[in-house]
Amino acid sequence: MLRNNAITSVLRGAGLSAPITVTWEVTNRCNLRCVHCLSGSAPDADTSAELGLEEAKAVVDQLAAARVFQIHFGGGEPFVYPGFMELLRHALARGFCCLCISTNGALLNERRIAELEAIGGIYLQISLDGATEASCDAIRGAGAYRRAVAALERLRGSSIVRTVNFVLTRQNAHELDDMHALAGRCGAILRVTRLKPSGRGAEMYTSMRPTQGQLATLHRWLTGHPDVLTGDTFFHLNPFGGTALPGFQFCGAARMTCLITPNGDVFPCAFTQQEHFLAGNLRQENFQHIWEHGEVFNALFRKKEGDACSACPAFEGCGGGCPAVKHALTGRLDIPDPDCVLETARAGIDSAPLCHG
Amino acid sequence: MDFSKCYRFARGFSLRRESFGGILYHYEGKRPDPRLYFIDSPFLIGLLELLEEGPLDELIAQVRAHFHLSDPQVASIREFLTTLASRGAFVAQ
Repeated sequence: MLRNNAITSVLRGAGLSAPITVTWEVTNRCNLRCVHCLSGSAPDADTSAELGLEEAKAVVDQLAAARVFQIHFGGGEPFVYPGFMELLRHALARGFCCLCISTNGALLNERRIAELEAIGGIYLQISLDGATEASCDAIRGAGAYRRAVAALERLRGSSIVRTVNFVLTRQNAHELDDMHALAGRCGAILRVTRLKPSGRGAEMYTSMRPTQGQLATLHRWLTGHPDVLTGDTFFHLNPFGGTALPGFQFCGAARMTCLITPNGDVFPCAFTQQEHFLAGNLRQENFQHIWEHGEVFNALFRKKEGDACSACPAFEGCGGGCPAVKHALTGRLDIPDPDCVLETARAGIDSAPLCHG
Repeated sequence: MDFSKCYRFARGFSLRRESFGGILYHYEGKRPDPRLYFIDSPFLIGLLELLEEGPLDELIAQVRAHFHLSDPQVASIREFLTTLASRGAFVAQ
């Protein structure tokens, strides 16, 4: 077995022959219009250029041929994509042992839950951005909380593995304990993830971005709650000290994962959906070819160095932070994460200044 | 673990070759984050790829001969396979 430092070296460098997980936003249409949506999805989203079901099945075939281990379906709301259940069955038939679905839960009626259970290998992530109706619906819209909790109730007797996904913001950061309890009552695992300035999240970032004090509290809280998942989105907080958060301590974009958009574009991750990060399109090129030869992947994301951060004693713990956040806020990748614990401490400020452009 | 038997991977386990050796992916089903085993020994990857081809003892003997493995190396293979078996990796054929 490879030792941890050797694994890190491999993954920070050229990466793998194929992703571990591919995130696939199958549609931009959604029955909700959350204020922080990473992809800017909405009920009236234009779906005219999205991959049709047969094209989507062909993409599944390419991912299977590349030996991708897991597909993570999102959107938009994946259950509004026409033929989504058929797409899941197709993926299972192609050998995927785990299919993850990010959903708001509104369309998870008992019939659909039974269908998912019959398909098998399904893992549901149900989004709830507050422990109360008021705090959740302030972000996700009226009725979102009740519909998601109702879905979790309907899942109570099922064998489907599920998490409650909670995007931490300045407004809901104090609800961690309540969210943990809520997920537990619903038979789900809590999964806390980082707010990113992409989609509508870019517009709301300044007002919703957690403070350094809240992030320090989160870091302590996470180290005391090893049952809580994070999707490895908080490794940039490790310089707070103490026990390192579990998981990989660097960004996995273009190394272990990548994103497919509804129209087949391939990007390093869900938070880098900008023209200059486009690695290719699946209507024109094969997935394996894009993964191996995508210029953006190789030139910008598969570097062992952390640029400005390489010489920092904390680099091994944080990997320089999140490239998507850096670029969205500053237009640069060669700088520390805007939430860098050490930078903000040095500057004696609560949050690093946001400089666009 | 009975090394005289023939096995296949249980559902949730998947193996892939990589430049450094290979990755064994394990989706546990109870906890959504998969467990990943980064394996750098070519003989171990080779053995896992041949898993369904015959009883484990025979496969180990073949791999030992092909790679000229020492006793400690064979012992570490058996230990690793036993660990994987305890995590539900194998189904007897």
